[in-house]
Amino acid sequence: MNTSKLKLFFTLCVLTPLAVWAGDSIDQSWTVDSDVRISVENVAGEIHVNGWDRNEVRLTGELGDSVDELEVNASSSRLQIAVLNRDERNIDETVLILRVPEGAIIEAFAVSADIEIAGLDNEKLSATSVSGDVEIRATSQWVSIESISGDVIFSGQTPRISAESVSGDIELSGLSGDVEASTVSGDMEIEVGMMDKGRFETVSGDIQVSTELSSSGRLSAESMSGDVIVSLPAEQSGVFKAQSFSGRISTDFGTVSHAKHGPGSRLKHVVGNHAAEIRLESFSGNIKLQSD
Amino acid sequence: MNETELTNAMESLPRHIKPQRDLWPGISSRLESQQAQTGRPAATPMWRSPAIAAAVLLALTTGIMIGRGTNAPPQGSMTTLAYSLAGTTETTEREYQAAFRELVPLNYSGLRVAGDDPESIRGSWDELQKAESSLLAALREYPANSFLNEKLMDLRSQQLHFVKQMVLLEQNNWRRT
Repeated sequence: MNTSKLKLFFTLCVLTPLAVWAGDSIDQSWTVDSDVRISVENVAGEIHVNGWDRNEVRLTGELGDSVDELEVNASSSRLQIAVLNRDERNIDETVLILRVPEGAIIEAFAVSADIEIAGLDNEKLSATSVSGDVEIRATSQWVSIESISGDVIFSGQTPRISAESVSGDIELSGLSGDVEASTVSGDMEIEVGMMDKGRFETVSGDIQVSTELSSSGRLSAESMSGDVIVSLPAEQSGVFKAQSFSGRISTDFGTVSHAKHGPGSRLKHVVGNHAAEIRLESFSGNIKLQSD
Repeated sequence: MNETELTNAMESLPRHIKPQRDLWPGISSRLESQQAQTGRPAATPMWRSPAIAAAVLLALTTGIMIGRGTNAPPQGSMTTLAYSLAGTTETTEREYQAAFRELVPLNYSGLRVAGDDPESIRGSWDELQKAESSLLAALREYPANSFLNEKLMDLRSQQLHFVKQMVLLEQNNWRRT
C-alpha cells in the first residue's frame, strides 16, 4: 500500500482502530489539543518524539515486515499508537517518528527499541524501554524514565524525576526538587540545582551526585560495593551522616570516626540548622563527601 | 543509626508488598491461544520457573516485611533485634536461594533482547549475588551489627525488585502476539 492510500485510510478512520500493512511507510497527521495525551508502543526499532509549536501530531516512519497492524486510536485529547506484530519470535524493526505539540503528555513504551524524546515543555513524561536506551531532552513537571538493560539519560528541566535501570547507566542533569534514581550495576551521574528530596541507590555501580540541598532537604545515597561521591556547596548547612562497613570515608565536612571494635567508619557532622540531612551509606564502596 | 532510629525505621517499613498486577491471566490466555492454534500443548512454559520464583519471593518477602513490622521489639533490645534479623536471614536464606536458582539462568526464555543485553542482565544478577555473599559473610562475623542487618534488608528489597523486572521482561515476551 502506498503512502497516499494510507493517508486516505487514516483520514477516514481517525476515531477507530486502524489497520495498515507491513513494510509500509507511514505519514499521517491529526489535529489535537495542545495538551493531548499520547501513548506510543513499539516492540523493536525506534521511537522518536519531537515537540513543535503546532496543535497537530504528525506520525511518520517505517513499519517492519513483521508488523500485523498499526493500531491507532485518535481523538483531539488522546492519541494511542501501538505496533502489533504477527510473530513474537521474529520481529522486524519499526521506526516511529512523532512530531507533537510541545505541551503533549507522553507515555512511550518499547521492548527492544530505543526511545528519544526532545523539545517538549509539558506536565508529564513517561518513557520505558525494556532493553533499549531512553534519552529525554525536555522540560517537564514530572518525568519517569526507565530501562532494564539500556542507558537512561535526561537533560532539560524538571522538578520531579524518577529514573531507573538495572544494568544500564543513568545520567541526569537540569534537575531540581525531587529526584530518585536506582540501578543495580550501572553507574549514575546526577546534577541537581536545588534539591528538596533525593534518593539514590546502587548495588555495584558508582553514584556521583552534585547538588545543593534546600534548607529542609533530604539526600540519601546508598550502595553496596559501588563508590558514592557527593558534591555540595562549601556553605551547605544541615546534618551530615555517612557510614560504611569496609569502605573508606573521606569528607570536607567534619571528621570521620572508626569503630572501636571491628570494622566500620562513620561521620556525623552538623553545620547550622538541623533541618537538612545528608545520609550516605555503603557496605564496601568508598564514600566521598566533598565541597565544590 | 542509633537504636531508636533503627527501630523507628523498621516500624515505618511497609507491612506488605503488593504486586503491581497479576501476571498470570495474560500469560495463561496466551498459552491457551497458542495451544488452540497448534493443536498441541504449548511449548515448555519456560516462564513458569521465574514466575513461580517471583511468586515465592513475593510471598517470602511479604512475610519478612510483615515480620519486620509486627515483631519489632521494644526499644532497648537492639542486640536481640539484630540477632533476630540475622536469624531470620539464616532461616530464609535457603528459601531465597532455592527461589532464585530458578531464575538465575537468564537465557531460560530466549529473551528477545538485543546484543549484549542478556549478558548485562546476568552481570547485574551476579552483582546482586556477590553483594549478598559479602554481606552474609560479614554478618556471620558480626551478627549483631545493625548496619549490616539493615543493609541486608535493603539488598533483599533490591533483589525482589530485580525479579519483578525479570517477570516484566518475561511478560513482554508474551505480549502483543
